[in-house]
Amino acid sequence: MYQYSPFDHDYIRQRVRIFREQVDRRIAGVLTEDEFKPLRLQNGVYLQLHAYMLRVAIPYGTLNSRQMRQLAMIADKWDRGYGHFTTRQNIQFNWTKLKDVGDILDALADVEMHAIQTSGNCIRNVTADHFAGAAKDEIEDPRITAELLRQWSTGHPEFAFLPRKFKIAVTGADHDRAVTAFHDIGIGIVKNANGATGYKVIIGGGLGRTPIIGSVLQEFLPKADLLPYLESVLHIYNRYGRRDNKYKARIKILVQELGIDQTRAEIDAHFESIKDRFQDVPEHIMARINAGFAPPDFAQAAAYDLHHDLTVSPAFAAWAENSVMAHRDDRHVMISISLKTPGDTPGDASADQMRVMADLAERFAYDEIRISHEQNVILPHVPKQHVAELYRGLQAAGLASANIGQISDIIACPGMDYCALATARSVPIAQDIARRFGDIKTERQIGPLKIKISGCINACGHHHVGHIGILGLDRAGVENYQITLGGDGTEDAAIGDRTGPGFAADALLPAIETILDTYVEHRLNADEHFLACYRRIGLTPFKKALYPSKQKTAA
Amino acid sequence: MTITANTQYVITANDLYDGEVVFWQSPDAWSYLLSDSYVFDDKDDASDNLGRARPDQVVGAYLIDVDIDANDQITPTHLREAIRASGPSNYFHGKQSDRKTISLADRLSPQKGT
Repeated sequence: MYQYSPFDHDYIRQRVRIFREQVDRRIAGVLTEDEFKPLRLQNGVYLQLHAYMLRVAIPYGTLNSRQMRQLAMIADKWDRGYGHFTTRQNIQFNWTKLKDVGDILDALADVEMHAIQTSGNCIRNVTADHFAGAAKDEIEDPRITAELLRQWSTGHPEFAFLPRKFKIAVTGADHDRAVTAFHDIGIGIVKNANGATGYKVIIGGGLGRTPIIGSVLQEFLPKADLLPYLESVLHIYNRYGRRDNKYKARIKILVQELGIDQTRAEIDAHFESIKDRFQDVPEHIMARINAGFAPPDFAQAAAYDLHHDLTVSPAFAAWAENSVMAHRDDRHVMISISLKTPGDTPGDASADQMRVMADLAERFAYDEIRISHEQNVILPHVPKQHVAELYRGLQAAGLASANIGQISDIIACPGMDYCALATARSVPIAQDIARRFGDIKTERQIGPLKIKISGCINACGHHHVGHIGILGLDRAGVENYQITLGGDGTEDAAIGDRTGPGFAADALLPAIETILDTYVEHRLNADEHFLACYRRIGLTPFKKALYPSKQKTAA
Repeated sequence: MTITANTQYVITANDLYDGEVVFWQSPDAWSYLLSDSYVFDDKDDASDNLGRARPDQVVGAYLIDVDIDANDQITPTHLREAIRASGPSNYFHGKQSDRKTISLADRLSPQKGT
C-alpha cells in the first residue's frame, strides 16, 4: 500500500504540533469558540452530544494490520474500547476528550494516518470502491487516482474555504460500488473506443435535504487532464457557489441553477485558460503512487477448490454464500466481514475485534484491509486455501454473521444517540429491524435487500439510496420515521420514493413487515429481488398495504 | 391524564476540556448531573444567566425545557436532552454508567411519572 514520503511525515507531524498549540490557546482563553471551531473541524474534531468526536480519515478505505491495531489501541486508551466505521470509509471515536486529541493525532501519525480534512468546507477524504484491486470487473485500481487526488487536495490553499464541503468518489469498475452518482464529483475509470483509459466525470450529485443524481460532465476525460480539470471544477464552484445559504451551498445546487451545459462551459473555459500552465504530474511521483498499489504476488497462492470445505460445515457454507465473492485471480476470493451482527450497532467494531481482523489480514490476506461505505470490513485478497481457517477466526470473535447484502446488513448513522445534528435515533431502529428479520431463514426468503437509515435530513445513512430508506425526524418532540422505497446508489442510480406519512417508532417494524409481505406477495419468483420487483410494480401496492384507510395514516 | 405544569428551564452546555455534558448550578459552577442543576421558573432569568456562561469553561450553552415530576425529579421534555443527561441507547455508556445517573431506559420507560 501507499507509504508516506518524508514530506508526508513532516507535514502530518507539523499539523499535529500546530493543533496542539491551538488547543492550548483555546483552553487558555486566547481563542474563542467561534475562532477555534473551524480549526478543530479542520482536524476532524466535532463536539457531539456526550463528548468530542474525532473522525479519522481512512483514505479510499484502505488499512493495513498495523494501522488497524493502532486504531484498536486508540479505542482502548482514549475511547471506550470501540470505534464506529462510517459511510465515508472513515472511523469515528465517540468519546474523546479535547485534551487527548493531540496525543491521539500523534499516535495516528505513527502509523501514517491523520484526521485532516475529515470535516469543514474543504475537499474531504476521497473514497473508492472497497473491492479496488481485487474485483473481476475492474479496469484499473481506483486508489491510484484517489491517492493522486488526496495529494492534490490535502492542504490545497485555494480550496481550504469552499462554500461547503466537497466529496469525491472514484470507481474503476463497471459496477459502481462507490456511489459515484451521489457525490460532488464522481469519477469512473473508463475506456474509450480507441482502448485508451480515461475518466467519466459526474458532477453535482448528492444526498442530504436535496437529493440529486449527478450529471455527466465529461464522458471521457484524458487521464493527463484530471488535475487541471478538477482544479477548474473547484475554481468555478469556489467562485459561483452560494455562500449566503448553507442549504444551497453545495455544488449540486450550483449545477441545478446554471444547468449542466452552462456549468460545463464555465469549467471548460477555465480549464483552457490554465491547462498550459499545469505541469504533468512528475513521473517519479506517479511511479511512487503506482508502486504503492502494486497487487500482491497472486501466483504464490496454490490453486484450491473451496467446494470441499463448503460441504463440511453448513454454517460455513451459509456464511460463504454472502461473504465470499469471486476475485479477479481465481486462486483468491474477496471476503466481506459483517459489522452488522443483529442486535449490535451497525459499523461498530470493538478493539478486540479490530485486532482479530488485523491478525487475520496479516496471516491470510497479504496484510490488506478495506472499510466499505456500507460499514463493513473487507479482506480483498484471500487465497482460497485459507478461507475456512479465516472463517473460524472470525467466528471466534463474533464476526461471522452471514448477512452481507441481506436485510440485517443495515447502514445506519449514529443518530440522536450521539450526533448533535440528528432529529431521531437510528441505531435502535437498525437493531430492532435486524433482530426481527435477521434470522437466516427470513433473510434467505427475502434475498438481497439494502436498508439504510438516517437520523436526520442530512442523510449520512444514505436513506435516499436504500432499497428501503428510513429517515428519522422530530415531530413535536416525538421520533417519527419516513420510509422511502426503490433507492439505488449504483450505476442504475435512483432516489427512493416516499411512501407517505411517517411512522412512530413502535409502528415502524410492522410497517417494514408490511413492505416485505407486499414484496413477497407480488414478486414473480424468489429470483426477482426486492429492487427489481419494486421497479416493476411501483409504489402503489406498497402504499395501499401501508395505509389501508385514511384514519390510520395520521402520524 | 396529568395537567402539564408550566415549563421550567435548565442551562446546559458541554465542558470545554472533556466535552462532557454539564448543567448550571450557580454562577461559574457546573455539574455533570442534571439532578444538581438549578431550575429556573422564569425564562428571562435563565437567559440572563445563560449570557454569563464563561467561554473558557463551557461550550455552546443553551436552555432546555424540563418538567419536575411528582418525585421532584428533573425531566427533560425532549428526548435529545434525556439522551444527553443519561447516555446513548445502544451502550450503557456516558453518565448512566460513569456518574450512576438514572439510565436512559428508565427515563424512557412508560411507567415513569404515572
